[in-house]
Amino acid sequence: MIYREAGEYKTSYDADSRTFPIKFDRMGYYTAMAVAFLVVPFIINDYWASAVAVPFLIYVIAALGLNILTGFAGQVSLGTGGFMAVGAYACYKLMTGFPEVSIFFHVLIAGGVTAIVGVLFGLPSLRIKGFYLAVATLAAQFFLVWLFNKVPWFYNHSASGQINAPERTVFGIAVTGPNTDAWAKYLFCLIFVVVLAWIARNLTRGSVGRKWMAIRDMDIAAEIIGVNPLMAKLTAFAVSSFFVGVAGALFFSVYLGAVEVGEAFGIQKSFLVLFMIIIGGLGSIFGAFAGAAFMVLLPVLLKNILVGGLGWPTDLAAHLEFMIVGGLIVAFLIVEPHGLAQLWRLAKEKLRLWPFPH
Amino acid sequence: MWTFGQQVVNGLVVGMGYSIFAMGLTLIFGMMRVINMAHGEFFMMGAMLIFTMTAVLHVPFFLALIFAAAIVALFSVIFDRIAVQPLLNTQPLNVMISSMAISVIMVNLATIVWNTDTRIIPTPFSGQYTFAGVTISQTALVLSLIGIVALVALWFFIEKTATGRIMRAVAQDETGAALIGINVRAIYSITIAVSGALAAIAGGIIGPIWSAFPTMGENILLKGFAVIIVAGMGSARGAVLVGLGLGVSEALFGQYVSTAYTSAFAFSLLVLMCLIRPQGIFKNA
Repeated sequence: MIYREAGEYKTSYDADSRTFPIKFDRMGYYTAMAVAFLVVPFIINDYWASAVAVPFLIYVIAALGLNILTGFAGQVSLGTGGFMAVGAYACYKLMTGFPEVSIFFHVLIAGGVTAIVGVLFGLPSLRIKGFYLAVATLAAQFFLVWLFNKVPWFYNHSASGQINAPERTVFGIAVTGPNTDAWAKYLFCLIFVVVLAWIARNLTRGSVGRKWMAIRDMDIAAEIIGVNPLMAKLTAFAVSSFFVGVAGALFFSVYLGAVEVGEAFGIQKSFLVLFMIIIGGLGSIFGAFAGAAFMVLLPVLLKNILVGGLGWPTDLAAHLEFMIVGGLIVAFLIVEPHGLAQLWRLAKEKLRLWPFPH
Repeated sequence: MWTFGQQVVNGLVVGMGYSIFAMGLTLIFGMMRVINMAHGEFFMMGAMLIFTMTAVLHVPFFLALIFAAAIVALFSVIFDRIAVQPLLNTQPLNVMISSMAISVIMVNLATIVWNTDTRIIPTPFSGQYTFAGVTISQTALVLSLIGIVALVALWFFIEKTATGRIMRAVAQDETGAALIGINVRAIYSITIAVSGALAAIAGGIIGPIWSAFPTMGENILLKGFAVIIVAGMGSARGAVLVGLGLGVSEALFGQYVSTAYTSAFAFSLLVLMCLIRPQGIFKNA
């Protein structure tokens, strides 16, 4: 009753092939956009921005990127943390090297640099797949973190080995550095999320996305029907790394401000983003949002219960959070391997008939 | 020439640890086609348990090693029943991801129990021997002997005992083995227990040489993967040789090229091997 496809009258191909063909979905989408742009910036405060909104938005971008590679093109990557580090360090070098250029372009170029690095590490994917590729990307992860630790040029020879984001502005409003307003950080990230999600959604609907999915489902068959595996895999690596690089650049410049590479972009980060797309749902744009929201909100919730409610020490609670997340991953894999996106699909199925299930 | 021999000897001891660690990985892969990302954490758990038993409870070193191996073996059976068996017949990737989740759980559990300090595992052996200018400490000698004993015991278990024969049957053909009345699930649990015990023994060999801390499993996991990929997945003899070779070549690389770049050595080897000969040296597939 509430959610139905019936009664939608379409008179053109455009109307038939739009992203949200069902009116209910479309209304939900417009409402979400209106709330995100017109309501949240005015009520957001520092706590909500730094604990929930900004990390959520940044992880959405990273999860979209990894989902393109793993969920749509079927290439497993354990190197997400390393590629985020490439984005972060590229952004840092650009910010300090060309202070007069807008940070907006720095983030985009950082994404581009990561895309090139991603393609480089994606080249082995033409020869190896499955487990071997996973291990090769794991090696990339360790290699990149090691590289940013060892070569002083990347952190401008600073004594601590850390990188710190200087203050940069967009239209005269600070978006990085210590004096940034919560709403500015939020809006800056939100714009990236909306544009990149729109690109991801349309890429995966179009011919490029279909090629990726053909490669994922059966690479030999895909090659026989005329999909070029070289192009399909390398575009997947490039687009995915671009997303991940933008996420890394934002994570460093807008969210953290100061980064120690092993801590911020270690193997744990790769696992975290992979867990997001597993919990959210592989091969689903909605899943990237759901998974990121889940993995950002769950620790906040647990922290409030354990530290605020039960009075446990913060570090103990933090370790317990990771253990609970790990347990949930195993549970999800066994009970619902298609993640939250599948639960949402089932819910829609139920809503279609509700309240008359027969 | 003496430094050369010295580095070879040092490398062989560490390489023995790599070999035994990689044996556990390759055993699980050969039997079940499962990639265990939590293997490094079993290694860590073994080292930390040995530390607690020797330094805090004052248990003799050998006894501590045996206890640690038994506890980790038990733990890996629980791991098998919770996170591996229910996912065996789904996509192969799922087991890998669930073992990653277990590895996250174990690292954090270890941090809660032992906190993040670096611990030095005490050994009861002191003194050193010198042959032809090459010095070997008694600790290193005993640790290598432990490794050799473990490898011989493993070979004996797999090649000469009834259980080992059943394991080889399951590795060859799982369905056929089930058909003639072999309890495949139980054999899988035994395999994982043996592999966990091997990881703990590797922890006992490498732990006293380096030191023990909760995230020590990350680095060796990659080296373990490097060993089994270079050797060829599922090749046991290859894993031993390549493990020793990696230990020695890392030590020589550190001596003659650069200590700062030693850790990059295993990565480069791994990536090169993936590109040139993904099936490994010891496999003709």
